[in-house]
Amino acid sequence: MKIRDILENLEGVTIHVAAGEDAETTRGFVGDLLSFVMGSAPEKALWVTIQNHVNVAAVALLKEVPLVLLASGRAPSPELRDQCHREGIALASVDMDSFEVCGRLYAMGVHN
Amino acid sequence: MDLHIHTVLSPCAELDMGAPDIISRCRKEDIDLIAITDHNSALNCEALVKASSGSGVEVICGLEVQSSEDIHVLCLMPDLGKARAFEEWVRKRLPPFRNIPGKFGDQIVIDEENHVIDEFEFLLVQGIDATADEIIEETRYFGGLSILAHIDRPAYSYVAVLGMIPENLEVDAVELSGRLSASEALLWLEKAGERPVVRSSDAHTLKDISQTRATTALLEEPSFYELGLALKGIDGRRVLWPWGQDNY
Repeated sequence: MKIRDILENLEGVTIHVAAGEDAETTRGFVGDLLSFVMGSAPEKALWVTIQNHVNVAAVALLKEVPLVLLASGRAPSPELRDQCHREGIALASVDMDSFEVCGRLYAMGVHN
Repeated sequence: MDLHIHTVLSPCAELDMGAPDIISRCRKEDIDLIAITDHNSALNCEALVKASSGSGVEVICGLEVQSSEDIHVLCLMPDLGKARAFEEWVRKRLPPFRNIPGKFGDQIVIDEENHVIDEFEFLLVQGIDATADEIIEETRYFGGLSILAHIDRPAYSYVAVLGMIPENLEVDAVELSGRLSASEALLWLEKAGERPVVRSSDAHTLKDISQTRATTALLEEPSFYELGLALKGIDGRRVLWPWGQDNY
């Protein structure tokens, strides 16, 4: 699915960085501990997290994450937003919590 | 020196962590500079400072602050007054969740002779409403020294939670657990960057305090001020690689 379509199919989305929205992804990952994510996340997977520290951008770059989705309405730190903008990583917040948004994504066909 | 010691105030600490008890254990282990770092509080610092009088053990007043990301940062203050003021800053940001002693442990405020003065009402082992980066900055603002606690642990560590320590993070030192072996410690050295590394006991019971979990520093005398110089490597003061001395 295209990133753009995924975001359009979710409610309560706020887009912070619009980038690479034509990119396709079929994989997803959820995790808030960055060491864990660095060690376990698959490549090119959409990432659901509540972690809004600037280091998220570095990990997203490492793992070629096309979209960072901040759950529970978490806003990115200004540093994270700026870094995602610089690196061309799509960044959005969604009101629903991680569990709910993962469920919706899975139902859309995003799974590993 | 051992810059990470809990007292009976921390709910997870044992009831043997009284004031004269900690001092006498440190004397026995030949540790002459310590930091008292209870979770999110400095309420027992005065007791330890008074209990240390004439003992040859110098006490630095500190706190182990838990950030909103559940990262532990040791915040060492220049004196009791600053520690109290910093504790106020922390207290304002601590969620008012009541402690349940039966479940979480006792949070006992003592005097230098272990008389119970009070029991702290709110659970101290919680993340406060401030990020680790904010806590480090606030510590600096208070004239204190900040140390990223036990970065080697899989939980409550800056590295576990945030993956890496940003180069421009102005933290004064990084702590590795006393339990690590020499070879394990070397693997963690890379994560520390150019920052000084200290080893501490994170003592929750008296037998945790030991030379094998301490750090040697070259100081003119054991004091907060000298520690600050040593962490910056100024004028011959420095912190020695903790695993250099032992053979295990």
